[in-house]
Amino acid sequence: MKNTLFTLMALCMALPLSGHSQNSDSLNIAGDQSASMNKLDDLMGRAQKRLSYIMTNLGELSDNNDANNNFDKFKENLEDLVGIRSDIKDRAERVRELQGQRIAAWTKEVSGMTDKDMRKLTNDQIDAAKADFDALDKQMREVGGDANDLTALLQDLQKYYASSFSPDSIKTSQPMVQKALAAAQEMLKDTDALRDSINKSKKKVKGTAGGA
Amino acid sequence: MKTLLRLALATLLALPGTVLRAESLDKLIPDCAEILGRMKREDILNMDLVKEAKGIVILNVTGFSIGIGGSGGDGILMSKTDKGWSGPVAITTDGGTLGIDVGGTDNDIVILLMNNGAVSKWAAGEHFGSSSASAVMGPKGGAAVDATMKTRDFNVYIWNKGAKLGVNFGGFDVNINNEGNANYYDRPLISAKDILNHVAEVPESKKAAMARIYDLLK
Repeated sequence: MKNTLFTLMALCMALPLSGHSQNSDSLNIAGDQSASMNKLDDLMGRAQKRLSYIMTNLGELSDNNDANNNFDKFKENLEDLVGIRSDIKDRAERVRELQGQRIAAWTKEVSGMTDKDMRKLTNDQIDAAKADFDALDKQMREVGGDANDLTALLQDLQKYYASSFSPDSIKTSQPMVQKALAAAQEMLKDTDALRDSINKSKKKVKGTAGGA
Repeated sequence: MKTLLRLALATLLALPGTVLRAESLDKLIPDCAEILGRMKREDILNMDLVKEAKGIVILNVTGFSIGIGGSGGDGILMSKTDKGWSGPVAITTDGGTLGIDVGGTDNDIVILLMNNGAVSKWAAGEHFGSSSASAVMGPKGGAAVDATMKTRDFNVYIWNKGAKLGVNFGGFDVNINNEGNANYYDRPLISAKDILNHVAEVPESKKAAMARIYDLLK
């Protein structure tokens, strides 16, 4: 009986240290935002993989290697890519939404502080968090804009081949294929850079949540 | 009937170790780029040491319960010469304990090959005994690189859903995926040596997709 009481007491004493309920609203939202950024990163990885397959399909198609099969695979991969891009847009919007909620909650928490210096210190942290996310958001929008252009070009190529698919039409389309391949290569590189930024930003967001 | 059942059972048991591997290079390249990108992003891989390496192996190794399928890996091998990084050689690994501490897990592995001898051993598709090579965990990204790290055969990096595993390296076979290489380079008799020595270059139609790996290695 004594042992049970001791165990219960020890558990009660440990609770406030481990309990999530001790976190402020802003810190809880930071946890959600960080998890959402993880999902965004995962989706971007999937999109990069799909784009790589598309690049191979286009390359093979241009060389007239099993052109019909490669065109079919190109269509499938493009359809998948469009689907993943839609998920990325939704997820990016969710990350932005959570950023807004986090800053709002944090600002509200600061307004409850009485010490002027303490308020300034926290407001400076909020400003830094805003600036950091604004830079990331700018990068996300730039890559997103380029991704829109690239997807539109790939869809145009699909329409072109759907209406005219022959060795001659494939040859004629080469300047556009090369344009798409160069843009795709740049997109893979830019996405790697963006994922790097997301990762760094996520760590800062998580840092405010008390975790590394 | 009994024989048929036994055969079916044997096939099922063998499945994890064999059928899931030997991917085409077209599929392996994006997978390996993802492994490399993650290790770079998470600051796991030491890029100063990458500059010193003579070769690199990027693998996904899946472990299964001991006695059933052993462990199997699928990935690429590349060398670095005066001409830069070579094209990819498709490889598989069988058995042993390449980074596997616990059965039934996925491990992403990057191995920096620090001398030409180590590259040749991998290219020859050798068996690596448990004491056949000096291999330790490579230094983390940003850490200072010292002479011992440059002179050992391998620096190994392992990623397992965020957990760092100790190096458990040895007792495995390296196999060159000749069929995968022949299909990718469109040359039926291509050898790993030809690829690693730049005798065979990445085909024009595959260059754009391969560029991501080269970019990540910078």
